[in-house]
Amino acid sequence: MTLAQIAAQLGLEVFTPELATEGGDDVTHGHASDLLSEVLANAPAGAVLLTTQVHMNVVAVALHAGLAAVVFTQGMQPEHAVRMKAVEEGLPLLGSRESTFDLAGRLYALGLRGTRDDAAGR
Amino acid sequence: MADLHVHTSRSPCASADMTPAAVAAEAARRGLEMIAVCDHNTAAAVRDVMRAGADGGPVVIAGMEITTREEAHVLGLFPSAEAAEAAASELDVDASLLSAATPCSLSETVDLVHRHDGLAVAAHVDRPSFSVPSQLGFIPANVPFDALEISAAGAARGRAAAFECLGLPLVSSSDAHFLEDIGTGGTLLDVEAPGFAELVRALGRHEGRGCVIA
Repeated sequence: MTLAQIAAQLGLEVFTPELATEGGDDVTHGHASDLLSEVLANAPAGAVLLTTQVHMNVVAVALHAGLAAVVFTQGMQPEHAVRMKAVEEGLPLLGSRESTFDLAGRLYALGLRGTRDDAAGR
Repeated sequence: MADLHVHTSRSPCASADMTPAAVAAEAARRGLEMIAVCDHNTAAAVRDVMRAGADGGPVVIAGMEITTREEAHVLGLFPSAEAAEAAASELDVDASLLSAATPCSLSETVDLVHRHDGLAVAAHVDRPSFSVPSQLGFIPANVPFDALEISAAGAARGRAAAFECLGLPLVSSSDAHFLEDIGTGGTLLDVEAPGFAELVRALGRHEGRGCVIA
């Protein structure tokens, strides 16, 4: 499922309309955390990150971890400077009013999983 | 020797016997020349510790350990109790939930400290909880910290070296929540006399001053 399909299915707000969400690799994994050190350590590459953390560092951390996109939950809104940095770096930012728990559940129902097979059991 | 991060019983998580008088007495007994009182999001105990330490005790710096919106801890060290209290009044925290997060982002918190002529120190940056690196993955280069604090345990394990590349002064302190922990971490300041103005010079390495983790 592409990011655009996920965004449409879950009714996500797109904070970076400048970036294409069509095409690209299928997104098969997700991760949920507000601790960016934990994201760096554990998020599977290619995952969408669900977080309430809107600090600028989320962009650099997502890029370093090779994430597909960041979804801000619970109605959290990134500041303009964060949005511009994400556009510059090509990182899609999306948002939802739903809680992290509910949104993770809906992504799971769409087939996304939390760990890569080769990372399971680490 | 200075211990720039000491709690009192005003912090919900600190021992109830850390009264201002007991904190000042223990710091004096430990031979500390300067302490900073840094309770969570309040400067309410600062004046009492200053009074208790006035008679031959250590110089008491007015401080605060501020919890940012991202739940990172930042020490504010101020030139006076008035400055610390003025900064505290802007934090908009519920007195019954003192150690909870304030509405201030990391940048806003550092700016708040600087607006009140204080020094902003990223607290216990080597620790896996409530530190800037734990919450935000790394220390953002565009936030103008005046120093980074290494926990006493981290300093003992040589963790300070990992933070030297950032070019910021490094300090260490006890983060004492119990009386017996006061002075178990510290910073040696090469200064004329203990006090806030000399602390500023020491962190800035001005006029031959300096600081090193004890």
